[in-house]
Amino acid sequence: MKIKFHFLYKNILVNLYYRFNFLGMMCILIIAYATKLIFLDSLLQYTPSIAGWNKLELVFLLYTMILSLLISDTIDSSVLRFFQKVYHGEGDVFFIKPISLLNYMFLAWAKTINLIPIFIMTIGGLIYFYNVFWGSSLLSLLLYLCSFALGIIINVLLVTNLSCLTFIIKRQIPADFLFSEFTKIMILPMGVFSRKVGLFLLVLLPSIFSAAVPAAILLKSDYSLLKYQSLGFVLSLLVFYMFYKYSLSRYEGLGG
Amino acid sequence: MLSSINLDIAKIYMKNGWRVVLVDRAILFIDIFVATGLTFLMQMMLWKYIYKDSGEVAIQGKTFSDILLYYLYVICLNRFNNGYGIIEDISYTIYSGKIELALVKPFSFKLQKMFDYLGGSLVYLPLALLPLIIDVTMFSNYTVYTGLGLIVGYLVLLVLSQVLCFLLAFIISLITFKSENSGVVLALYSILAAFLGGALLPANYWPESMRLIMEFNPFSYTMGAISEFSLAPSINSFLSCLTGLLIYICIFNLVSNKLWKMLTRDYKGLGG
Repeated sequence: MKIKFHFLYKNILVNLYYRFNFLGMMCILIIAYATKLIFLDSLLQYTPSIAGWNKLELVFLLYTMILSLLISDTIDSSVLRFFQKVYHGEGDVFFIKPISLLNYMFLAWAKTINLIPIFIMTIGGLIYFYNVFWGSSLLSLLLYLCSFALGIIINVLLVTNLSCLTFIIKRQIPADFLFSEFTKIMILPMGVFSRKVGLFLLVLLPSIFSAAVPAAILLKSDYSLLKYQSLGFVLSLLVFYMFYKYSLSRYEGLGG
Repeated sequence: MLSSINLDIAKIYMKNGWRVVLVDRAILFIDIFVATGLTFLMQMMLWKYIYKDSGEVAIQGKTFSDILLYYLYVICLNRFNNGYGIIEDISYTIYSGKIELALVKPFSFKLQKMFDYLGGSLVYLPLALLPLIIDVTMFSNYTVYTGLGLIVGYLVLLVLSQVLCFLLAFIISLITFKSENSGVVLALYSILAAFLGGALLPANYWPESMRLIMEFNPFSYTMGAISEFSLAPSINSFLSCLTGLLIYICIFNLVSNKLWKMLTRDYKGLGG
């Protein structure tokens, strides 16, 4: 535990050093979210609802998605950076250290600067969606948080699983690009798929619903989705556990 | 600019760009299947329910099949007229201090990169022609003349939009001279291109106050305007698209030359 805190502490120091990067990133985040909001707003000029979700519900879905992506991105960027180093042949150093490789993979280059926008978004969300949060029962609120956390872990596992291919095929995997393509579907509520197809996708590729499921639980009280999401979570955890071991055993070093 | 083009050298640069894109098979696969397919699927699902929930047959004069065809055109064009790779390349050349190597060659830096870019784009040409083939063979019942006009017009606009797209990417990548970091520039480009280009929504679907910007911004002439022309081919829409493209190409050519001169005059080299 002490090691993990040490990693995070050093990480925050490094992140604070690059201030221009932070400002640029904040501007881009604001532009990106504003375009998504305007897009949603323009669509709803022509229709009162999309697949039974009205404007407030869709905005809440978008909010959940943005927060979920921000938190996943914090850890994802460390994973991506780690595999970039492995791909460039600088990874061998980490294999001979006396602490677990996973520490490096998940914490060493985490984008801790994201904590600032995450904090702002959380406070803003609590104020803007005051009625949504406090108007719902304690059970749905708890299940919402549970499903939200599962979604984040699922997102990180997906990026890690894709990146682990680097160990085997010794090429750079554009995992971030692939993931960002999947996130385009995240803005859709689950109702656009038929129930069977939706549940099938939820088990097989839970990442694309990591915002839709928590939102559906809180707003539509659709608790049964959590079962399937947990199943998807267990599956991707299993894949990670087996694939990580297997791919690491195949790794021979790229010549540092 | 045109007088200094040496076709033999240009061919070599194009061949080089073509090979660089082909070597990166993982990106090519994701670009063609996942990125294009998933984006189209998402729009299809979304619009299916918008037409269903609103109960209307046509929104802004477009039926459901019209809007699907629009998205097919615009998403394929978004892949074809994609400046991401060339911005990454130019930014890397600038901030890693390799620009001196490119400057000493007897072929201007801009032209080197332009033919590099055009060669790479040739790989994606089948993708840009796919919607045209689907449109002409399956969807429409054009007369022979309209069909031929559509094909010729589309090809002309395709070539010009490539040049405009390169100029835009070139100007954006010059920011690296000041920022010395490409991540921000790349993110900015991909958001602007999708938002202003019309890949998210057709220009006249945006709220009233934004329509003018959405219709006449340079990005929209690389994707949205061409798609609108292909949906309802007519001499008028072709000419308006053509003039827009030509005017923007002239303006951005001048701007990029001026900027290049200004930035390289102060440039001292980052240690090559």
